[in-house]
Parts: sequence; C-alpha cells; structure tokens
Amino acid sequence: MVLCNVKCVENISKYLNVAPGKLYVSKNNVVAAKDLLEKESLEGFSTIVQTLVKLSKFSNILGKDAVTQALTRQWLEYVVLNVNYADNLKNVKRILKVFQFRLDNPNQNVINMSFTLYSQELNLILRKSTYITGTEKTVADVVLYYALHSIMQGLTHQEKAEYVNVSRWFDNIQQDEKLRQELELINFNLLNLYL
Amino acid sequence: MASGTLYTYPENFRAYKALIAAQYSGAQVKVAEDFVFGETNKSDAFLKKFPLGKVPAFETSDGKYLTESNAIAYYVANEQLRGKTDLEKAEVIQWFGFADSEILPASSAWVFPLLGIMPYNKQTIEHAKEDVKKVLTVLNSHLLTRTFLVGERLTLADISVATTLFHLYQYILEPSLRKPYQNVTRWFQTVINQPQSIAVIGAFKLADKILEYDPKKYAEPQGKSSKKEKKEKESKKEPKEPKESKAKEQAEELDAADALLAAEPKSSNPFDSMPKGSFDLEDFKRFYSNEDEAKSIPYFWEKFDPAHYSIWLGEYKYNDELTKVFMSCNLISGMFQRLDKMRKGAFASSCLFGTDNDSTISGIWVWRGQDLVFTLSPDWQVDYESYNWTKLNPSEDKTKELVKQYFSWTGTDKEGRKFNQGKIFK
Repeated sequence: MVLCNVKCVENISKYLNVAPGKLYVSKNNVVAAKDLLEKESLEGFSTIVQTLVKLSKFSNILGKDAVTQALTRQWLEYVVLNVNYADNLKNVKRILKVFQFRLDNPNQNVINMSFTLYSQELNLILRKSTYITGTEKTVADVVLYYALHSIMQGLTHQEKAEYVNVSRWFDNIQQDEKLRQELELINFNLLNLYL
Repeated sequence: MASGTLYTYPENFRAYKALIAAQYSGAQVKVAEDFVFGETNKSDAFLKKFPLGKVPAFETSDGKYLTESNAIAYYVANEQLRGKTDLEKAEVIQWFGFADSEILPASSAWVFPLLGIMPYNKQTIEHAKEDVKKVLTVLNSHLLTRTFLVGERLTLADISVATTLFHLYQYILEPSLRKPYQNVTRWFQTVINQPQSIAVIGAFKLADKILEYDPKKYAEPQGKSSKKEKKEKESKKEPKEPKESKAKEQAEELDAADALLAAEPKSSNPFDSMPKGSFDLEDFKRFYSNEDEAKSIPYFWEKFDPAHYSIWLGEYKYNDELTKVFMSCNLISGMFQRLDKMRKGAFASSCLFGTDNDSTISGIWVWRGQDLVFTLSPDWQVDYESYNWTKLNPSEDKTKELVKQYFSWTGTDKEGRKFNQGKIFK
C-alpha cells in the first residue's frame, strides 16, 4: 500500500470542496481519476491534485508567484517519490533519518539517490520557513499533511521531539478543522519534555 | 466594526501595529493626512484630545480617544487577533509587555546610538547587546515548537513583537548575528510577509550588514552609507534625498580634507569666539515659541542687534527636483538636524511653498556674526551649498516684510505658490 492513494486524494478533494468523481488505481499502480475532467481520465497523484486545486475556489493555494508555484510542484513530486513509500516502518525511519541528517549536515550529499534529487528536505526546509514553500500555506502543506498523518500518528513523543521542525509545522497545519476532517488531532503537547 | 483616524508620523512601528491589525479585521483606519510631527501633536486641539501629545493616537469615528499603540491595535483588531480564549487573551497581553519592557529598551539602547539619535557609549551598547541576546534566546526557544507566539494562528502578540523587532532586523541582525535565532527569524519573516503586513509596510529587507558606529558620520550624515540613519533621525519620516549623489561627493571631499579635523574631538563652537551683543537669542526663541507672531515679530525687531547678528535669505537651488511635500519637509528638517550645533547662535524659519511636484524651499535665517556662518565649522557644511544665500539689510522695509512673512508662515514664494509647511530651527 502506498500513501498517495485514493483515500488521500479523497481527503484533498473534500478539503477543496471539489467532487473527485470516480477514483481508482490504474493498471500502472497509481491513482487515477475517471470523471474529473470531461472525456478525459487523469492518471498520477500530482496531476490530479493540481487539477483539483484549479477546479476549486482556492486556486491561489498553488502559490502566489512563479517561484512558489514551482516549489509547490516540486514538493508534490517529492511526496510522490519519497513520502509515498513511507508506509512501512523501515522506510519511515529512513526518511526521518535523512531529514535529520540533512538538518545536521546541510551541505553534505546524502547517499540515498532518491533523496539527493531534492536538496531541500522537510525538516531542513521547515527549520527556516513556517510553511513548506515559505511564509504562506500552499497545497504542498495540505498534501503533505494528509500524506504524513499516519506517519506522525505512529511517532513516539521522543521521536516527535527529534523532528521538532516537522512536528511544529504539523501541529500548526492540523488546527484547521476543515483540513483535518475525521482524522485524529495528534498530540504534540509533550514535545518540550524531550527537547 | 471599529473605525476612526490614526495620528502618526510615517513609518512609525508603533502605528504599524494598529494598521496591520486593521488589515486583518477590515476595520476602517484612516491615517490623518495633514499630520506634521512635532506640530500637529503639540497643537492645543490635539492636546485637548490626547494630553500626552504622543503618537500614535486614535480618534474613533464616534469621537472617542485612544492612545498607546497596543490599546489602539486591540481596539481595531478582530476576535482571532485578540486571542480566542481567556488564556490566549492574557498571553497576548503578556507579549505586549514583553515587547515594550524587554525588547524595546534593549533594542533602542543598541540601535539608537548607531543611528545618532542617542550619544554613543560603548558600555551601554555592550549591555544592550547582552539584553538583546537574552530576549532573542527566550523568543527563539519559545518559537522552536511553535509557529506563532500564541495559539496556532497569528495574533496581536505576533504583530506587536514583530514590529518592535523592526529596528533590530533592519539595522543590526546581519546574517551571522541572526543565525543563532533561526526560529525567531523564521517567525519574523512569516509575520511580515503576510499580505496584511505587506499592505502596510511594503517589502521588508533584513539587514545585510550591521550598522557601524562612525563618529564622522554624525558630521556628514548625508553620505550614502548613512542614508538610513538620517531617515531615522528625522522624525522618522521617509526622505528621498534628491541631492544624494552630490552630497556624497561632497562627503568624500570632506573625508580627505578633514581627516585630521575629524580625528580630533570637535569641541569648539565657532559662535563661542564671537561677541554676544545685546540680542538674547534664547530669550527670543522662547518668546517666539510661546507667543503669537503678532507679538513675537515686533519683539524680534525690538531686541535685534544688527551689529552682532545678521539676517539671511536662503533659497534652495534645486526646487525643480522637489517632489512630494513630506519628502521636501524632511529635507528641511534633515538639514536642521545636521546643523544641530549651530542652534546655539542661530534661528531660522524655513518654508515650503506649493504642492507635490511644484514646490520651492526658502527660509529666513538669523545668526550671530556678519558672514556666512556655514564655512566656520566642518560640521555645518553638508547642506549649505544646496542653497543660495543672500544677506539682507535689517533696516530695509523689504527685509521687515520677509521676516514677517517667514516668521508667521504666510504669503507665497516669488512665483506665487502658496505657503504649505514651515519648520523652525531654534
């Protein structure tokens, strides 16, 4: 099972107030949408999310300028390529370890190829900025929230403290009830004990 | 919904609190357009409403009065900004206090001497640096696990603390200095980059380089590097210096020629060596400030001592480069500020005639001695070359007429532009 799944797209479309139509997993094993666009079926997580945002009333959350928009797309790719497979414990540890590694050695290359593609890892990025792409919330934050929810849910307090920037960001993002929907509000109150 | 008029000088970080809060809440806050710092707020009408004579001050549209920037911001804010629960409301007030009593004294003690607003004292600055470190460390650890100061959404606490940190981020906290406080910087940038803040303050640039204290700058504050400091010194208004490049050239010449002079402490005031005569300038200045021109102008002629004092007309040479009225006013008050040490033996009323993009500056000056005074001290030479100086004969009627016009801020310039604003050098 992957994280960028039908359920995740459903959550996003609910947040955006857009009916996603029929969602399914295509024979390429990626999420696809059948009725989102007329006479056209869409395949691929990032494409579907971008289409959903454009169809919604919140098209500005793709980013207000070209740089932010580019960053937003980059993060959508990041989610698909990396976070997507963080659904088993081994991969979670690897991702978080890489985040942490980047945090401590921001200038060194990470051995893992798939991560070196993205020079700005989550924890590092979030150390310096409030939201994923800068000072305002974009769809990258929304998508990462849904994609990471199950991961964050499984962390111990100590682990949350270890990835404090991710935790801080997540706690801020999850306060939006419309975003949270029926997902559990994750507790970060004990963070301070481990810092 | 709250609405009313805010009295403030431009670029006042205290006024920003209310203006940014109003952007969030949609409150109708109008900035008083004709406000002149040091004049409007000293007028009787103003003091009746706001006895302290301080700004920002707020007049609600139904005629109630508020002072204190935090209170005004609170009044024009919305529920989210004020804090949603009793605890959050209390926390917002807690951060108001933190900003005013922890950050501001430390920040001012460090920044103001560098800007030339306060005397430079190494010990005081070292103290201030420690205090700033302390408050930034507190903020930094608070913001490690938090996005905003109170709760998970932006509140007045963020607005108030961020605006109070303006000077530090603008002049002091260069990249190496702000590195230990990454959480504070992240939060600060988030707060000031919200569209609501940008609508009020525009794009904010964090310091590239710490503002250095340079005693020479005080004498030549028009040099390019110190443009900002001048801006601050001048009732904190924004002057766009039209003569900047010229002034810079001049500053550089002075650098070479006066290196020796500047190295020595500037102690002697050229007025000290001149005979005082019978005209008590201080007495006249007091009289002028306290009395109507109908009394003070005759008083001037009664006391004036033509043997020891002279009257001059100074006309700005580059009137065609003047644009906005407030910028031209800053030009005048900037000159006054740079001539600070001349106040002892001089008095002037400089006036701006006309309107935006069509205005002239000229003034009547009175000083001890018979010759052009500016050449006597290297401190006084920054601006005077931008003016044509004409010595007036005190016994001529024409002079009497000019003195009357400029001292009472009336009439027009040579081309018939109406009087707009005046500044008194005293």
